[in-house]
Amino acid sequence: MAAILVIEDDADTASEIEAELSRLGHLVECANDGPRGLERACTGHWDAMVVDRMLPGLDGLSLIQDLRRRGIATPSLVLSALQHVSDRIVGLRAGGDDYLIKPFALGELAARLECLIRRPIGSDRAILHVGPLALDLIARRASRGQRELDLLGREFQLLEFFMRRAGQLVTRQMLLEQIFGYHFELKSNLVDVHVGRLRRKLDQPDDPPMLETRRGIGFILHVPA
Amino acid sequence: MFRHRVPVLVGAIGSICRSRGVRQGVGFAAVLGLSLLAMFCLMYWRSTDLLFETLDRTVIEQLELLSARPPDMLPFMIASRMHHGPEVVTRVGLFDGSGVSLVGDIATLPAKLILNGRVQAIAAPHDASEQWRAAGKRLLDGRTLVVARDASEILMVRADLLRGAVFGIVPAVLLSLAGGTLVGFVTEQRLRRINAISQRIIEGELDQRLPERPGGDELDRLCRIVNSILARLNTVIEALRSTGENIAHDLRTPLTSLRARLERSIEMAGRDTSVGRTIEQSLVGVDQALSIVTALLRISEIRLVRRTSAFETFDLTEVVQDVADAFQPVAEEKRITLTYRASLVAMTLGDRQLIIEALANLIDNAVKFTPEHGNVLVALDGTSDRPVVVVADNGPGIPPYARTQVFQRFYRLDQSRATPGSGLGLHLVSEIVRLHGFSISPDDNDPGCRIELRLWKDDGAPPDHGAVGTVQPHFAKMRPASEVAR
Repeated sequence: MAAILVIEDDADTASEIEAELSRLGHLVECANDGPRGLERACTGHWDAMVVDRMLPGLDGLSLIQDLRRRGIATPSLVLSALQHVSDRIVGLRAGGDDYLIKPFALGELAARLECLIRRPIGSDRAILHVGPLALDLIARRASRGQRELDLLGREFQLLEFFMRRAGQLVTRQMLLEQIFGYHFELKSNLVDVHVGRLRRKLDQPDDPPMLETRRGIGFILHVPA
Repeated sequence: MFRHRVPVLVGAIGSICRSRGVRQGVGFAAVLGLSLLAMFCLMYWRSTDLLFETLDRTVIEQLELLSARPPDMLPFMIASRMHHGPEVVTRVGLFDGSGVSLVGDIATLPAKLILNGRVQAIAAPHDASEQWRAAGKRLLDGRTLVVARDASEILMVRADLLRGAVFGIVPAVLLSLAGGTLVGFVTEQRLRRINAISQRIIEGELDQRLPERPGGDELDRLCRIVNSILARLNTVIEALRSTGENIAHDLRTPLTSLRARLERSIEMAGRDTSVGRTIEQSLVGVDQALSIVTALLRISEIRLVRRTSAFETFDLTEVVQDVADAFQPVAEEKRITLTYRASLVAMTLGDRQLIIEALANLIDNAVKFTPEHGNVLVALDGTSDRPVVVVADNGPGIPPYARTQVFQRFYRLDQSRATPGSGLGLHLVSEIVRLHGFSISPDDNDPGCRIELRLWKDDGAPPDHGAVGTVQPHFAKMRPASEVAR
């Protein structure tokens, strides 16, 4: 459970987000304009924020900048219409934040918030371990138990992404953006095909399956108990 | 060098002669020349007639006057006239019955003169180059009286008139030819410009307007009328389009809530129960509807964005190779051979993400519509400053009648109805192409489809208004979804 502040002026969108996040067990509070949002962001203790790009009173990006100047580093997910996607928004990722273009699926929003709340695993390590999986980032070698995995470039990137977010839902859109660099929606089985190839190498018929597909939204790399 | 220029010059002259403006100029000059000529002829005949008439009357009067005198006085009168001096231009001669001169300044009786008392034009007996107007009559006593006047002056006036005509009419005709051609040429240029803009309007750029000058002539008034029709049409089409977009926008919220509720229901019913599975199937349908709505909104945003702020110069070769590379496994899954070939290194100015999006859609489409064991070719051709990306396959192809329609919203070929898709992919591509001022056209790969994406501006038009090659007029985009295919 996490405490999430939603700063969004459109009442419909705000209530949708609130319903979805509450369903997932989060604690949600909404603010419907920039100044009020900034005030709540400064006074409350939040695990993450959802901030609309266009807000009455104070725009979303200035709001986040203001928070950062005050030393408040709450991770934020910026909602933006396509025409307002600027380099500054795309650059949010560098600051550990994320953005989502409207219209978006609620599942996508929830998965991205999850990613922001939980820091990626082993961000300072050269070798990642998830259950029987080991990934050597320097030697670029992967193995499951004793079995060496022969991975191609994108498969290696995919596995690294999954391992850093083990147990979390990773959406197709996140993979499209992070692994392929496609910041748009693509009606294609591109991601599924690449993940499918990785899965065939990862989960042999006699292994307990680790990589699960969530229909319509994405994938989870399970950590065996 | 000159040899090259001559055919060009001949061609240019040929095209000038064929041009409507020049033909108009020549016609104008011809009409003017003819009317000037008619006017001159009238003047010429009237004025010389009048002069001859006056002259002839004098000759007759003199003849009558002298013949009415008493016969014995006649020689004396004739002789005394001659002493009046050289200003007397009337010559008189009196001859005896056998034609021998008795008195007067006509030495010999002109042979050709018919003695009927009427004026005739004859050559002077002493000098054939001198023209006379003369009349003669036989007197009662058998002698012959002849009165003549030199007509040279009239002939000189005639010659002067002719010369004047040549010096007047020819320059006037030449001037009118030049003036007419110039006016015609200017009109022609205006018509050409109007024609070029009309062509762009036909290609779907409904925000283009015909040139009109304040006040102006009939052509300007016509342009103004066409422009106001266009403005009205544009409003109607925008209204239609935004209706579609508003519907998409309004559907998004209920669909999203429906999706969330279905998700919750699955959790409640349990994924492995029959109810859970049924709801999961419903989710697939909702997702399909949501994806159409999302794609529609995205297309409308691309169309409205018209931004060039995200334009940058990027390595096209790298981008094309990267996208082709990403789709390699997708092709392999279908046992399709995807070949990538680049014959050049090219940089392009554009929105990198949108170009990637267009390429990904084109390649995905090619792989989707090519049967197993088929071939897909992705090639970077053309020249460095005019690069062309070719995406060709040996699938079922696009029949000629549908080639301009595949870029339309919701258009799907009959043969592709079985393949999942919204019919929006190629439309999205065409909007991206339009935004950049690039062009795209589908062609026959014999068999299969070959799409050429030309990543350079056709005519140096601003990126917002670039023509999209053979892409449909915007009007056609309002087709109902029921017509659908690829």
